[in-house]
Amino acid sequence: MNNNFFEVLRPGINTTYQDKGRFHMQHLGVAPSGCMDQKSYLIANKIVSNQNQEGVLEFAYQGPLLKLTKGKTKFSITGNVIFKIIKSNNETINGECNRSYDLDEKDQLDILATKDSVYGYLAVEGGFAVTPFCNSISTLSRANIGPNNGKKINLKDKVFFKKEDNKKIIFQLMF
Amino acid sequence: MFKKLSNIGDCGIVCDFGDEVNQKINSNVIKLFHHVRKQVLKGNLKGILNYTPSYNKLIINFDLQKINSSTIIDFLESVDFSQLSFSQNKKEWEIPICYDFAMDLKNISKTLKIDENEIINIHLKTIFFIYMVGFIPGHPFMGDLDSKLFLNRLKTPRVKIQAGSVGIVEKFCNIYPYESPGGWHIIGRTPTKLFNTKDNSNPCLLSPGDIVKFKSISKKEFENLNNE
Repeated sequence: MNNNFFEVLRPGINTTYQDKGRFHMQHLGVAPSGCMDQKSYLIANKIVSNQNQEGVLEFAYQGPLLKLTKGKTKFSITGNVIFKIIKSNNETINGECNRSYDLDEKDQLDILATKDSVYGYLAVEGGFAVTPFCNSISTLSRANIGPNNGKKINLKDKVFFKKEDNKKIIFQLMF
Repeated sequence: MFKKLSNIGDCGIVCDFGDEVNQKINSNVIKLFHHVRKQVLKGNLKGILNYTPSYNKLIINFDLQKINSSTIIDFLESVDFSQLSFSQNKKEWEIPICYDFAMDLKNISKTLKIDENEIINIHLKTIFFIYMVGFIPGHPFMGDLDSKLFLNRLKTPRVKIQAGSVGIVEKFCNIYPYESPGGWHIIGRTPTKLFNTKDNSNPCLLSPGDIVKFKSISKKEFENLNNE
């Protein structure tokens, strides 16, 4: 895969891919899943100008520590979350929720904890490159449904983005 | 046909068909379920998200931004049950089962004072009707088992039951499609996969209203089928 990706250095307690939910299947025993906090999910996507139904990463209590191993990206974190951006020159920025940040190659994103709440959301510009099952990328870990074989995010997993490097696109447009 | 319509939360409606569990009431639930599903797939009822039949209730979930409960209640009240049928959606299945994997057959035989082979015979002879699918994806609740095999749930449920295990309790029989906790008496295991997460168009083998018969297979046949 050519796409840019995060490497998972710490998975967090329960980090899963989620979106609006998987509907029209409950008569087969498939629970809708989806983001617990639909409002924060919607805001996360809006900030990075994604479509409303784009998939995000949902984390509970403690979030993941992610390293942008390849490429550049723009991301947003919503909910009530304490997080830090660790630049490649070891400079740290204390993050604010409900706004967007640019991330460069080799930067790290450390989502420390949710404050007085449970769930928080991470959206990246363009969304994550995962295969939907029945029109949704929501994870239902009980039945192994969803991306990553229906499991929560694990140590050393790679989280791929749909969007390729901006530079490359410009390069292709020029020639 | 339903006795009561009521709201369940701000975006759900429950159609109550009564409190008894029998095939006559359940058939009506399934008829209404197929009717609602057909209308939703046709695009006549925009905003309905889920329609979940159980033994004697049907729950309809909707998106409050697109539809409201009074529109759905009006639709449900206008349904003519005499015009509905589900025979065209009904399928018959033969599911292989290996009784060598029974965990509780000996205990059942002891409590009910029926020979193990007789229990297997009764189970094989029964033509099961699927009341509902739920609990975990693809998990069927089937009936009716001979009243001779009436059992209560295990006193202490098991934490882990192997995928494919077939259990019985009261007049019902089930199949666990995934490894899961469970309190039913396990009498065998099937190699049939009930839910396929790789199949986008038709992931679930069994549907509510289908007919199931079991076919006994040996341990060797089980392993051959399981490796397929």
